[in-house]
Amino acid sequence: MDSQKDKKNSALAIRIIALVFVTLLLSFGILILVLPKAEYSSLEKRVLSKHPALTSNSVLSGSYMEDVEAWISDTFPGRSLWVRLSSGLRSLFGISESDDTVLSKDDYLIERFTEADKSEVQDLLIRFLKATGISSESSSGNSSGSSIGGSVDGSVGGSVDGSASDSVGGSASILIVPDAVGTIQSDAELSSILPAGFPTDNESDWLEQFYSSFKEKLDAAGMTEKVALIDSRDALAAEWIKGNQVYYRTDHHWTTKGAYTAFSLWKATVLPNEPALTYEAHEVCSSFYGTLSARLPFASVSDSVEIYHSDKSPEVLVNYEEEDRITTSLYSADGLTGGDPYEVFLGGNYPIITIRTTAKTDRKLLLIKDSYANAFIGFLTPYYSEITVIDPRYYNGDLLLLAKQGRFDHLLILYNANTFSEDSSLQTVLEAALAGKEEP
Amino acid sequence: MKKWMKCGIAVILGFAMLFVAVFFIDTMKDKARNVSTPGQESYVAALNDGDLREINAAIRSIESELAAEAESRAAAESSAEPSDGSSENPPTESEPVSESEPSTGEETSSTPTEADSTASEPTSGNDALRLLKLPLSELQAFITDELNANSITALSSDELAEIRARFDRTVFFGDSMAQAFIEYELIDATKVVYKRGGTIDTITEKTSSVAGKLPEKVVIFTGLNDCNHYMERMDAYEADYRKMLDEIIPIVGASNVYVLSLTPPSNAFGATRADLAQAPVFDQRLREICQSTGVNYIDLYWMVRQSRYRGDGIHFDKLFYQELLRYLYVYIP
Amino acid sequence: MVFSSLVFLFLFLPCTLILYYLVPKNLKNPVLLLASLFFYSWGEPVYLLLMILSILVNYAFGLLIERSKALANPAIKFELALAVLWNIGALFFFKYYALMQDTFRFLPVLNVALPIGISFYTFQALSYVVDVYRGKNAAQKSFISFALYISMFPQLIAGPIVRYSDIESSLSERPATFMNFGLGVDRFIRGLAMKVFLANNFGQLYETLQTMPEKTVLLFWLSAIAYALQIYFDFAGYSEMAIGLGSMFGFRFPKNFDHPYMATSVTDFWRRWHISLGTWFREYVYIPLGGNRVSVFRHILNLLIVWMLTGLWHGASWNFLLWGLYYAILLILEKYVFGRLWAKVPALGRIVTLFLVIIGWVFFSHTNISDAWASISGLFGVGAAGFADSAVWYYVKSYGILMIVGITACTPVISKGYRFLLSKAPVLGAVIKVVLFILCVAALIFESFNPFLYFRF
Repeated sequence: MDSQKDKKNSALAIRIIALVFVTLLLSFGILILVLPKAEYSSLEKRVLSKHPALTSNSVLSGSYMEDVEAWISDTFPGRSLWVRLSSGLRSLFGISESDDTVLSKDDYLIERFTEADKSEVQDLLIRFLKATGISSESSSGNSSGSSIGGSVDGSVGGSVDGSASDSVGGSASILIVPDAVGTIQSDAELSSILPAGFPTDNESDWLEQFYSSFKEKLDAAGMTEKVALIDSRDALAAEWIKGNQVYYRTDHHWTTKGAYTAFSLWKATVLPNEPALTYEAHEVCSSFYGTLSARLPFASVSDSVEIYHSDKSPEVLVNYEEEDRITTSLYSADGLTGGDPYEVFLGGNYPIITIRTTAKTDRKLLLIKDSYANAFIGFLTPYYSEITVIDPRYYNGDLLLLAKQGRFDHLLILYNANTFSEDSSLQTVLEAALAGKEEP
Repeated sequence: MKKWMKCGIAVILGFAMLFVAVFFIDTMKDKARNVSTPGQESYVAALNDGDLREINAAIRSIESELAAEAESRAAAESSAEPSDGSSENPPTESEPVSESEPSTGEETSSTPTEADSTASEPTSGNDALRLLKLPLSELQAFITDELNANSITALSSDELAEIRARFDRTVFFGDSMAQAFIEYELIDATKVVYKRGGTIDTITEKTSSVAGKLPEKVVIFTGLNDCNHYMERMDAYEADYRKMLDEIIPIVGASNVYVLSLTPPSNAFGATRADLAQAPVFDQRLREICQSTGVNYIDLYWMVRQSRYRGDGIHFDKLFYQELLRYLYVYIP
Repeated sequence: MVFSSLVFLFLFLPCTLILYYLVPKNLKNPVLLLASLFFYSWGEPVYLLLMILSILVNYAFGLLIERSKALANPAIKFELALAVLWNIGALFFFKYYALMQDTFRFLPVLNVALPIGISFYTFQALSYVVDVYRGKNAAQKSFISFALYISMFPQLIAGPIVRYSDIESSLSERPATFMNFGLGVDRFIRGLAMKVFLANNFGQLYETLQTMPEKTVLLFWLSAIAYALQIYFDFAGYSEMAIGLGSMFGFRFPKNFDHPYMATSVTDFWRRWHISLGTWFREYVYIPLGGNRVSVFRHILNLLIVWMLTGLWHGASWNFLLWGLYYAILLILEKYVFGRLWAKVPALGRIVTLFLVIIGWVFFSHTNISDAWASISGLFGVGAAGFADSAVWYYVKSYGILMIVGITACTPVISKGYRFLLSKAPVLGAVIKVVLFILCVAALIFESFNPFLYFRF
């Protein structure tokens, strides 16, 4: 009797399963054929595959079939939902890592670091700095000696005395900022944030090693006094320990607080005699889900994006040279509302931007950077009348020529460690600039 | 209906409702991501409300303030120092400018020899800028002699820096003739707006770029593409050119627009191209247009020498451009 | 096409099912055949021709041999030899030529690609031809039915290797009930879950562990276990899906895996792992060679031959031969030395068997023999950097739950428990299965999820 009922139950269950299965197959099959296809995934920030072209060649080689598979899975109905479901399931099982990003304590999404050998870039930088005239005393026309941390740095003398110098003024600084993983690794108190044993290279050690080997090379070239290497690990770690958020939880960038922390450090070395401004924070977005949130979509919390504003900040004219556009603020409303709020800073990355300010000085700055610097520039404007911002990933011009023609007082290289390590465009641009130009 | 069908349909409906609900919630959540409140948006928008021209003017006035301060400081310093012998701004203009000697070869960038200037202490900057301080007619004569003798003095780095400083707020606008300024590394790319192979109608599309650079002066240098494009359509050429000027003039004012001649092709090349050989005719019309619109026309025909053409018979070489810049420096106030 | 893809699940399968169940009985086979050919050419557009050619040849030989048999034609042996030559030759050429060229360098280099499924359909064809010769079944007169036997999409790509005699009757007559269909669905979902949740994830774990610079003993073991689990769930999952799909169309395929990691001895293991292959080799190689009804020396030789061939069948590389040899030796030892011991203490037998099998998989996973040797000795601490490091523990923690689930799924616990649940709370059981299916689909979509970090950055 029981066994009969059991059999009937099992049969019932099997039939239900079959019915639901067929319904699911049919309904999604129809949905796939009928629904309009999405073209862009805001979650993934990429353009989705399109319907492939049906040619005899593509069919015979099999590429048509592959493309169709990609297209169907890219435009599957309800895709982001499915992805979140799967992501949630994975973290339920304990697999809290995806795409090199791991869910850490306090809801931080932390990206692992892969180290690369950057000694070639170091050599290129030294050659570049030499070629722009920083190292040699003679060719520099800025006799007001804007060497670092030294004498009358705030002098307005600059290059107005008509000395026709063809060089970047006296000094440069290199600021490679650690990412969240690097700051965590640099301080024992923070080390518990990262899941124990999470395999990653040690960014903190790599940064330290990079700086010390660079310092050696600078010493050998006799350029130590003119080139500052700024190590912001301790400053950022201290702020973090204090409880201030210096990195976004779901984005690989630093917060404005983090940028300000590093800026204070930089200013103390490069512009010690200049007055500091006080800023107040204005929130411009309270629901920021950054780039890392797409990798672990189930485990994301929002952050707020702040702009630091001071009444004493000068007015600016921001000229996006290759876009033929000029704005009057470093902060872009389009960037804010465009799907990635971090782009409120400067509207994103452009090959070359020239910023002119109403600061009462004629100092000029050349800034070679990646996207970390976008949040940093606001702090620089009170001290320079002109800032030329170059992003080597997009810039195709002759950097050396630009550096010489512009008669800059200072050259700042500002990158985050991950991009600096991974990206090769700085190397490419430097090589192109130096090709055949140096004096023996 | 069979029991399993009823159960099955119940399950299906249950899942369908669940899916729709979750889908709905998910879409709502997606829409709530990365958005700002209207207050936040308007805050940022307000930051961008500044007046371009006002700020630009403010920047300019601060620049001139600083320049004035620096000059007065320099003057104060020099008057406080007796030991310099002859002062730094000696009347270099009064020195006999030796025009014939500095015959450095082409393409070398050695500085003009100072051996001929009078023997006062070589205070560095001024002798090197000697040429730039000549009155226009004298400079023109100097250049003519050099061109005739086919030995051009290259620009010294001091001269180049001075010229660049002078043209810091000038935009050079045109086609490949203007582009050459960049190629020869004479003017920074950010100050040149060009369209390679452009004719007047296509160049006009880029006038907004010119405006975007907030120039104080605009120098227009176009070439022979128009001779070909507007061959036998002289009136169309005039109409289009006027249209282009209509967009340029409001930016800086007619008196700040400088149009350079439409230079002819080389004799050799012009002999093979009847259209390009019409250049002087176009140039004449150009003069008329300039006159009637009030913009400045700068004649370059006196500078044209067969030896200064590049291989293509249309463009001029680097030394020509260097002389041209000297001329423009002195010509344009 | 593969079963675990969205195109198969939501486009191919529903279309085929609808078409199949709409058409009248005499069109069902052609429909299924066409669908199968389409399925094959989706993954392998060019070598479709090779398979069709093989079908034609074997079909012809089948008829020929049957006629020769009926007429007692002495040429029958010759015909059989030709048929076998054709099949083995094609298999040998397409699969093993590269290996031969690599080993014997005087051979010319030819760029031969391995057509999908050739190992499987060739063996099926051989089983057909030999069985016709033996008189075990009649030749199939209908070309369509025969073509369907060879190319039927459920078992075409990855087995099980179905003997012709097993489904001969089904080819012409297969009553379809909704219940059978449902059992097929149930099985299919089970196979899909094994593949998508377990095999793919363990595969990922294995890949990641292989890239770790520091190799500790624990890492070697974790790696080996991950691989063992991956290969089981991958293969068994596919087989379950194949059997399930077969059921959906009214065919009954034999079971291919029977909880192999529960085996009490190596011999037992091979009665539970890839059963259809073992059966095939027994029927068509081992028994013709004499099986075990010969002298001890000859028996050992038979075992060696069969197992080396079995190993080589799995892949065209010498490590597979070694793997086969490894098992040959173990089986011989078990037969003549250890066998009775395991029967007395099954628990010990299970542990030792598992141990030996895992080591076997290490041979299987590295084509480079010195790599394999390094991995094996690493299991015992040779060449390892300590017992464990924090990175390995991290992976143990991350994949721990999944491993427990995986290991449990190797035992009959889950299937028995589920069957119990179905009999007591059918709706709940059904919902769970459906949810499982939905999660599988989600996992498939997740695999294609590819966030691009630096867009506009």
